[in-house]
Amino acid sequence: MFTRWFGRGRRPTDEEIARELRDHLELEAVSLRDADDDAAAAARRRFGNLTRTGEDVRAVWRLAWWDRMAGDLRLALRTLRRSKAFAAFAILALALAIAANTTMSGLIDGLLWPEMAFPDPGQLVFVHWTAPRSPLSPNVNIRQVLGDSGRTYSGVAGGLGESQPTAITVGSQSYRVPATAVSGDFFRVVGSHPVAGTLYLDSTAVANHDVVISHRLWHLLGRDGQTFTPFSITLRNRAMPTYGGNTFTVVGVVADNGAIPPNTDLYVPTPFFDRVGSSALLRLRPGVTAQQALAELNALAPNLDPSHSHLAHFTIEPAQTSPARNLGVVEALAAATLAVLLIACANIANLLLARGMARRRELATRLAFGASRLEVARLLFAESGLVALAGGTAGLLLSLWTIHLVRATLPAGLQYMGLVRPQLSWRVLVAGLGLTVLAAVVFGVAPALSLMRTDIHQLLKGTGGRHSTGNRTRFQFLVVAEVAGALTLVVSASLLGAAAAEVHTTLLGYDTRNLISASVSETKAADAREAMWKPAPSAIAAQRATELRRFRQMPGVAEATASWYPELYGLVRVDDPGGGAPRTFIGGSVIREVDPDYLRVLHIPIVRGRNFHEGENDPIPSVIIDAPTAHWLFPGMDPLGRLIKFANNGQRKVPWMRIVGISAAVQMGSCSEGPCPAHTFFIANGAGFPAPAVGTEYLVRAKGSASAFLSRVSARLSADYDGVVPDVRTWDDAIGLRPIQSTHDFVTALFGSFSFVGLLLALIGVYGMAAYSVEQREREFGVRIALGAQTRDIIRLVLREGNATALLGLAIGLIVANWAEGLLYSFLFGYDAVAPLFMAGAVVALFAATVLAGVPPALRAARVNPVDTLRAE
Amino acid sequence: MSPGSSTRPDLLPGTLDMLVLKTLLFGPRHGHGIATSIRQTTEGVLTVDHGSLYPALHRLQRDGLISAKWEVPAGKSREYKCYRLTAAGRKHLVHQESKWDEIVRAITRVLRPAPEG
Repeated sequence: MFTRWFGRGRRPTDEEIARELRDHLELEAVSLRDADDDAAAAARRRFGNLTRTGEDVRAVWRLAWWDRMAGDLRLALRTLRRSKAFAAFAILALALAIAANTTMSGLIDGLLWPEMAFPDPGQLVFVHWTAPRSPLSPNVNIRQVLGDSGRTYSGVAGGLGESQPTAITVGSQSYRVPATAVSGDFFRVVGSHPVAGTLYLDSTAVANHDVVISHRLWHLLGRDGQTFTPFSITLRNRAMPTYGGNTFTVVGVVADNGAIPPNTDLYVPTPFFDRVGSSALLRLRPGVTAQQALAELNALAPNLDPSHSHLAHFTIEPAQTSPARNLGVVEALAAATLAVLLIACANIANLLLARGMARRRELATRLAFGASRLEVARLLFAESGLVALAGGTAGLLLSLWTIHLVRATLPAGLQYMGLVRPQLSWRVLVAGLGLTVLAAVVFGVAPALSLMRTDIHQLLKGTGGRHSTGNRTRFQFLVVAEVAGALTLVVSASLLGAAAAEVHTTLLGYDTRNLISASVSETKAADAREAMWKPAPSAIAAQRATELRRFRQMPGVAEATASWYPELYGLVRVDDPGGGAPRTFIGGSVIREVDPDYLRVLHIPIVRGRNFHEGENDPIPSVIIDAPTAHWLFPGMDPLGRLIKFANNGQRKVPWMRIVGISAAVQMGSCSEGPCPAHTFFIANGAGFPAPAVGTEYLVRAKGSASAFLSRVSARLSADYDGVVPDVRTWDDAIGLRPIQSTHDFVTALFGSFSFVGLLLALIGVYGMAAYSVEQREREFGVRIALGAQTRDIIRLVLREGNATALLGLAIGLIVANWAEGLLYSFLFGYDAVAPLFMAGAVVALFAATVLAGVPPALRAARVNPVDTLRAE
Repeated sequence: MSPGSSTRPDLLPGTLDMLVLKTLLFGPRHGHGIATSIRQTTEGVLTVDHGSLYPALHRLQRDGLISAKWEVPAGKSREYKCYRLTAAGRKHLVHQESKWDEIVRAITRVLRPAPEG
């Protein structure tokens, strides 16, 4: 069978065929000379036409499959050229869908498999040494046994594998960037190359106070493009272990993806990591698997603490972990892309089916003239293949541009929200190619299947043609899907748009206008971990009161208040008899001990109960929680007067507190490094909780612009706190509002464009269905008009059908949109409460749009001339 | 437009292929030689004209039943395109011959029924 398809023999050239036939003629002439007269005459009669024979011989070879395919493609091209509108729309729809999808998969690809600018990222692993019950565990130095290299690994360095938000000051500007602590030889082991300057390569970097920054930060500082010269920066992160002062020299710039973890802007060498604790970064030798390395390491493990050797072991994990933090956004975007793709597919399938119906006569004629069903199916397949090829190519080219566009407009803050720069890797291209092939198969198979069921005789007689109405249900289901998808997209986009607009005004639930955040540490040491001396709580409280009084008297200050951090963590408990969430981790909560004026100054509304007042001295401290927290801890119950307490891991005795008020939902924490904190606790001044010396945050509302007032606040605090450098920023900066805003704008723009494309496609779908239906029922309308139906009646008839389909689509769309809203939850900031309003609005708008899309075909139906249609019978 | 359609009706469909293959069983031959051989063997009853012969030869070559080569046949002074049987062709011929025998027996039984008893 195989040889039948591909042909055993080499295809002869035309010249060869001609020569063979000429030979035949010659030999025949010779034999005729020798033969008797009768036979010669008979032979001459049968001599025939040699040219015709040559043609037949060539036809034998032309049946090879590639010839047939080329023929099919030529025919398909001619057919498509005749129906330009169909071809153009199908290709455009496919191109848009594939471009959207490729861009999105580029984004997801960058998230899951970020490209790294150093060799062999897969060979970098983190190893951790654990030995249960070994008192050495936290302080062990595994470099003692690892050395500098081993059989399976070629380098050992120290690193965290995660970065933390850190405040830095360059010149007079403050920034908050993700930083990570590493050992001096970190870049040597990773194999990074500098983009500018040099990278430190050994432990002298620690003594020299050298740091390396990312290209992104270099750009943020406005220094890229200039010749690199080392410059100094100041670090202010109490959690970041720094020694010997916090002024560093930036000696080099590394690419954004030039080291691990990605999305780190600052690499700080520390002696702590130079010694390497119980964890280390290993570079495995080429070809060595994690398992092989683990085998070598575990042979060394017992040496670290011989007395606990029997349980000591290493664990190993890949260093290149996904930077994904907020996958919900990606899921939502992926869902939006999928929706656009589905709408486009439904549209093209709709188009092809409608076209297939219209072409049934043509195809039936082909069948009647002896083409096999397989041949006709192959022709249809060639058509869809051409459309898919053109659409796929256009889509991939378009995606080159959109990926570039997204890369250029991607806000920096987005990276902290879990999105990264999209990249065009082979995986993405394979995905795009796969989609194209899938489209060709799906769109080719659908009409082919419908053709297989066609009864030629019925078709040619015309009874299957113009007045059947049964086929319309098939299109309706596609249009229902399109309308549902479009509604989901429109609702999501408008909700996001509303939330984005709100981010710019009063998203946080309180008045942030001209608000300055000034944090100051009550200890004099640069690093809280080193602080041996801590002022007495009463002294801190006294200084705080003085400071607040001074701020309030300062010219240009409208109001001032303060909050500080009590040392509360672990679980939160509610009093047992009343019910409620029994024991819940407080992760994602903001817990502040506040000045009595705090909520008034920030204009935080009290929803129930009371606000704090001067001199709260109840033996049971008062606490005010915001509405989401109340719902979280006491679902469906009245929290007022109830008692809660923090467990603090049982380390300290913490008193019960009484809930005296419920505030409106507020967002007090920073959202720039992860999901926003969801819960807020305000604890009354004087509760007397043990407070760590992490300082006080003064909030000062200026009468004029906040940014112009920053330096005065800073100077005042510096003077009063004995030279301690305060962290003074506008509130919007402190809470990281700008990245949230730009992220919102970006996601909203993406959704907006997706929903625009989806809406457009859905409307074309509705229009197409109505137009097709009108064409099918032309004769029916002719008869109706002949029998006295008015224009009005005909239009109503057409629109009613489209409206029923649209309404069904909208109903399904509402359900899907409701689910989609869940994906977007973290982006809506409580805006889900108004979702029903937006849904209703979107439903009305979409319904109106679908009605309008049905109007032109309806008008055409009303203009049907009964004489023409009846004569055509 | 099947390539077999130009086969003359004086031969049963498919018989030409069999005759060509059978002729080639006795050694390689060029197209005219095959036609001459068939005419002589059948004493002029069956004549194959080029309009049927060459499409059939090329079809058989395409399907791998025969192979072709430009060579100088015995008794000639220059190259002709000569065909020879392939292993697949040999197998195909055996199959066709047994089928043909069956048909002939069946037709014979119809035309000259064996006397009863």
